[in-house]
Amino acid sequence: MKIRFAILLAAGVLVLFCNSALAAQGCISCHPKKEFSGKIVHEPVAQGKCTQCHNPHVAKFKGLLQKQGGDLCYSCHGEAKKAFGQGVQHLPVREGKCLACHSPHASAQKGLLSRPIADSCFSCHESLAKNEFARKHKPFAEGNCVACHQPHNADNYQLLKEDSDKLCLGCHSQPDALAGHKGFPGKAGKCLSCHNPHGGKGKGLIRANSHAPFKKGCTSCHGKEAKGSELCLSCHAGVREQMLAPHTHMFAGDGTCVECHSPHASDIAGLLKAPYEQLCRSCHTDTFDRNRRSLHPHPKTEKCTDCHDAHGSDRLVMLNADGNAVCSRCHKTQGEFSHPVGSDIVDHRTGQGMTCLSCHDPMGTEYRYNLKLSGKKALCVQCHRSY
Amino acid sequence: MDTIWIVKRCSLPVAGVVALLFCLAIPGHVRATDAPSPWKLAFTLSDKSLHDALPTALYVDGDKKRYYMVDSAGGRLASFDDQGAFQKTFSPEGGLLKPFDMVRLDESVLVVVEKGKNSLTKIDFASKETTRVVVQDQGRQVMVDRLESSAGSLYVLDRATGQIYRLSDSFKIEQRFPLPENSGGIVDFKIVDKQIWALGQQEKTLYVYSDNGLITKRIDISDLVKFPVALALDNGGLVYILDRHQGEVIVLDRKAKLKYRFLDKGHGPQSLYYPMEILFDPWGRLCIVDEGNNRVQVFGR
Repeated sequence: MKIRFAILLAAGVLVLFCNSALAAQGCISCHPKKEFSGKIVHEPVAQGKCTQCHNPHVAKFKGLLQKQGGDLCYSCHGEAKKAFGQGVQHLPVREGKCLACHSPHASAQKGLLSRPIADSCFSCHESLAKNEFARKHKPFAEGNCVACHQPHNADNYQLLKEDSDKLCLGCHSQPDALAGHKGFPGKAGKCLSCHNPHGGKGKGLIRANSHAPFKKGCTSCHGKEAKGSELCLSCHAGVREQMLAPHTHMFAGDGTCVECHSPHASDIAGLLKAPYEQLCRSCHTDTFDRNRRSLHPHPKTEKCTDCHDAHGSDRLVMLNADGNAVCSRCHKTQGEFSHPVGSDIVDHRTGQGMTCLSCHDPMGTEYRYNLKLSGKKALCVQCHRSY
Repeated sequence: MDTIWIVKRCSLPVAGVVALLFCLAIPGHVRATDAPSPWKLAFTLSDKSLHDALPTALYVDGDKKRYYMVDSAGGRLASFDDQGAFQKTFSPEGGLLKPFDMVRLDESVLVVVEKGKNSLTKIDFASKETTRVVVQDQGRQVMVDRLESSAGSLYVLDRATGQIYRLSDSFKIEQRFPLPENSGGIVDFKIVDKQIWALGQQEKTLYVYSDNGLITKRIDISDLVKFPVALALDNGGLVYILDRHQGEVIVLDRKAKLKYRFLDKGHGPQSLYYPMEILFDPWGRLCIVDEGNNRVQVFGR
């Protein structure tokens, strides 16, 4: 009985081996072999196991793939799926787009990268690539993005490998850093508050726009009795008024204002710590994800503040004007000619005046024109019941 | 072919057991999350006269059997009876500037958070006087936000520091409930059995404070919610989290185990559109202040 079982098992293994080898031979008879060769070859390709990823006859997915995107890769790299799920995730990782950076068959690059790492990074991070800094930080100039950033996920903001200060001071020692900051109180730290880690105009890679009190000196703010947002609002009285609203971005601990603004210097107007999309997404991840995944996302606007008020608003979703005025700034035709709107036209579902936002959701929906429901019938009959 | 063979030859009870085992074998197929919601819409608090209102809070007076809805856009309070019938709107002389929350302090005194004036506004019906108090903390103005009352004391959330304060009768700070370390701020809190349950929005965490201001428990709810804005607790030990962006209520036990979810985003009767507040009334009904739909929905079991 045991011998019979062993023979059957051996036969099975042989059949499987022959199958995969034959399959590979079959594939390569049509698909040029050079497409599957390189310095680094993906293990299933090297072993001729094309059918590990592809179905030779029929499949649901493009390229006759058995599964799609990350689902396919994680069927072997299961441990990576678990590891990459921790902390801050890089967008292609979050969306399971492994091939945004990796080649599935073979590559000249380590880690089966489809091109040199900096080329991969800059293919998405275009604004960084276009930035012609007069002076560049050495790792950035060398295209060594992974000197500071993790490509998949990290515990730190901006996918930094470590806390930003620890990262900076890993190369620039504490004594060296202090030597360049005469009169700096305590240890050197919060480096990114003044320095651009990629490049800048002048020596020290200081960011382009400086906060006026920062120019005057540290004691303009440090050592004062007022702390946190109270300190900022003691000068920015107008912002205080904006914050006295039902919907406000005033919340957090001592650092309310510095959650978004740098108290020292920034390359972005308004002393913002990062470009709008990046900054707003750090809290409103779900909104950005929804917009990205929607079948009909609203075209990208330059700034979130084109429609929203960043400090405080009396309106729903912190709009900076009423739901008609906001939209008709761009949609001028609809601002003059549309379904009746205005405070006299009551939306019977809400008892509020009709606005563009009664029917449209500009953060993205599954229906054309960002409609909340299908414009063929479902949306209209919510009010026009006799139809 | 094989499937047909199995179906043909299995008796009904055996097939049932196989189906049950099959369901249990697939993770997530049969879960507590599939449990139906026991909540049915009892009535809605709204009225044509509240055109263009933006309700931000509700206070329920069990003694007077009244619901009071705070309308921040209209600068007024609207009252309804305990069956949802609209009674009247009210604002003191001079109006209320962006009212946000309210409680009744005693028989004749209401306290309203007036965001526009950053004050706790005391409205005394007996003396017909309105007094605005800007709460101070070591020379700094407290940015007043959510308001609760418990055992005769007022508790207010300071939006600027994320701290909750228990106030004396003269609105002086007598106890601090400090912002937890690494918290992005508190957005709502409720007081149950002398404990404060607070909701950290950015870190999606529930914090439980003892009466002396110490945090006794942290509950991570980050896997369950997208944009939590308010919380409520029932007598059976369940916690109700209101998700503003998803327009849904997530119900979990006090160990953060999901029990069920209900409602969705939209404008229908079972939908919410940017809701703002959730609370239980003294009669065990669940009330949801739905800012985007300009109404308060009251659900009974």
